[in-house]
Amino acid sequence: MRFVDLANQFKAQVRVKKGECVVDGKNPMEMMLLEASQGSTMELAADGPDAAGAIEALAALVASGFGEM
Amino acid sequence: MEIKKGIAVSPGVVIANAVVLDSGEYRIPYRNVPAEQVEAELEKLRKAFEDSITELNSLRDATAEQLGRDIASIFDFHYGVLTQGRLREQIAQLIRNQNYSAAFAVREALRGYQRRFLKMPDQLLRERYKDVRDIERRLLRNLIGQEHEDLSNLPEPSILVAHDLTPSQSANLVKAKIIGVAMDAGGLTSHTAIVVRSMGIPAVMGLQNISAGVSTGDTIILDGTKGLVIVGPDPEMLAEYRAEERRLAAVSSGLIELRDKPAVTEDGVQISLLANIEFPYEVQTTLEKGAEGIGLYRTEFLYLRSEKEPTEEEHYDAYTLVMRNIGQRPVIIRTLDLGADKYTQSQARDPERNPFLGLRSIRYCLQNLQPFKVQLRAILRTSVEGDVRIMFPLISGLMELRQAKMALGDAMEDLEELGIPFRRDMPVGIMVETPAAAIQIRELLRETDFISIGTNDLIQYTLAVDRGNERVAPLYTASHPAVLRMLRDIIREANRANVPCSLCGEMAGEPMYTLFLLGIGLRSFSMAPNDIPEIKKIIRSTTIARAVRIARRALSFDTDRQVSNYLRDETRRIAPEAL
Repeated sequence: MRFVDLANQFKAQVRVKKGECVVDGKNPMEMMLLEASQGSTMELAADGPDAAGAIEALAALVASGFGEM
Repeated sequence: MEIKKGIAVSPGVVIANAVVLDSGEYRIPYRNVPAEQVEAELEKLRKAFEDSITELNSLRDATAEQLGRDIASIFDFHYGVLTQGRLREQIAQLIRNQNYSAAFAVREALRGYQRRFLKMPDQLLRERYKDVRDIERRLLRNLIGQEHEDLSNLPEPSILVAHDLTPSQSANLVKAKIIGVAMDAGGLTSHTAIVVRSMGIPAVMGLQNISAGVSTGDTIILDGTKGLVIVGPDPEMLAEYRAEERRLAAVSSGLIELRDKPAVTEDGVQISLLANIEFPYEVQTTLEKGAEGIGLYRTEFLYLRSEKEPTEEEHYDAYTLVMRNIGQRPVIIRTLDLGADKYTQSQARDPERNPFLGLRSIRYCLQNLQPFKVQLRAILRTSVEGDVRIMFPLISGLMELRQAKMALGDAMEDLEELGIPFRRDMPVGIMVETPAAAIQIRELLRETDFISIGTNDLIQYTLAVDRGNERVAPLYTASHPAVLRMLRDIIREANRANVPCSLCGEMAGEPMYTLFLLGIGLRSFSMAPNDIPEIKKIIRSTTIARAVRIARRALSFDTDRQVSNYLRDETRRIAPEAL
C-alpha cells in the first residue's frame, strides 16, 4: 500500500472520498475497501500542520498511475 | 463433571490438565466493564497492540529468512493495519463510549471490517477477510489467550483440546508434551488420527463442541479406548480411572515382554510383523516394539513441513536417517501420497469438487514428473544403504504402474550419468487400494515385485464412504462382506503367484481382524508400532487351522454386523483383554 505508507509519513489526517464513501487514507483496510480502480475519481482532503505537503505528495502518487490497490 | 462421547481413535487412558488450542473462536470473558475499569482496559489494549506488533516483526523476519522476502510480505498488511491509521484509536473509542471490554471492542471493530470485506465484489479483496480475522485472533490472543498456540513450552504433560488440527500442527505434537488429544472434528482414519496413533497418544475425536466447553487448566480424563472425555471429574470417577490407568500400564508392560519372542503361530507358521511410520525418529519405537522392518514409510511429512517442495537432499537425509537406525531390516518407502484429505486441497487455488477421486497420489506424481523424479532419485540413492524397497500408491491400472516404472527408469539413468551408485534390482511394489487394482490383481502381480493392501482407501472406495465424514463414518467398516471377499481374492492371487503380499491399513493393527487375515492366507502385517505387541500375542495364541476355520465362517455371513460380532467373539476367546 504505497498510498497508505506515504499518507502515514505526514502528521495531517488524510481523508479520501470516492462517491458517497469517505475513508481514512492512513488506514490500509479502509483504503482497500474503497476499492479504487484505475480511472475512478477520488477526492483527497487533509487536515493538519503539513496538510498541503500531504495533498501534493499523494496527488502526485495517484497521478503517476501507481496502479496498486 | 461432564462426560462427552466421541469416536475412540487411539486407545489408552490419560488424566491431565487441558491445554486448549485456538479454535478461532476466543471466548470473550466479559462484554462490558464498569466505568472505573475503562483506563485499565485501554492499557490492556495498548499492550496487546504492542505485543502483536512485536510478534509480527519477528514473524516477518523469520519468514523472510526461511522463505524469502516475497512470502514474508504477506505480513506487511497485518503490520500496516496495526501500526498505521487509527484502528487502535477506533477500538479505544468503543471502550470509552460503550464501556466495552478491550477484547469485546477488538472483536466488534474487526468483525465489522471482516463483514465489509466479505461483501466486496472482487474475489481477491473478499479473501482479505481472512487476514483481518488473523489480526483479530492475534490481538485477542494477546489480550485473553495465554499463548495457546505455542505448545512447545508446556510446563507439564497435558491433554490437547482443539477444534481440528492441520497436518503440520499434528506433526508438531511430537515436540510438545502432549499426552492426549481431544478434538471437535476428525474421525477414525483422518490424517491426525493416524499420526496420534502412530505416536501412541490416546485420542478421542468427533466430539463436536469439546473445544468450546473446556478451558486451559481444566482437569480432564481422556479414555481413548472407549471414546470418552470427562471434564472436571468428581473424586470417585477420578479414583476409578487412576486404577484403570495403572491396570493398562501393567498390561502394556506385559506386552513389552513379548518383544523378543517370535511372531509364530502355535503350529509353527512364521508371520512377519512390520511397522508403519511417518517420521524418521519413529524407528526407535518401532524397534522397541519388536517390528521386523518398516512395511510403510510415509513420505508426506517432507512436503507438509514447509511451503516449498523438498529438495533431493532433504529426501535423501530423511531416508538415510531411517536406514542408519534400522540395520539390514527391510524398509518400504512409499512415494508421495498427497491429495484429497491431506494438504493439497486447503492450499489449492481451485479446490477439486471430489478430491478423493481427483488428482492425488500417484496421479499427481505422474502429472508432475519433475518433483516426482526428485523423490525417486533420492530413494534410489538410499538403496545402497540397506534393504530399501519402493512402493507406488493408488495404482488403478497397468498403465499407471508402467508409467511410474518408466519414471523410475529415467531417474536411474540420471544417476547413472552422474556416476551415483544405486541398486538397479531394488524391489518395486504397489499398494492395492482401489477396487480396480483388486479386481485386476492377477495382471498387476505379473509386473510387480510385491504388493501391500491399503485397506483404508480400499474400503472407502469399495463402500463409497468418505472415512473423514462423521455423518457417514459409521458405514465405513472392514467387516463388510464385500471387503472380506475382496481381501480374500487379492491374498489368494498373490500367494498363487508367489508375490509377497502385506497389508498396511488400519485393519492390520486391529486385533479383531487378525484371525480372519491369517485365515485367508496373509503372512505379513504392517501397522502402527504400538499395535505390534497385541497382534503378536494373538498370532502366538492360535493355529493356522483354527484361523482358516474362523475365516471361512466369517465369509459366510451376509452383513457386517454378523461378521464383526463373530470376529469379536472369536478374538475374545483367545485374547480377552485385546478388545
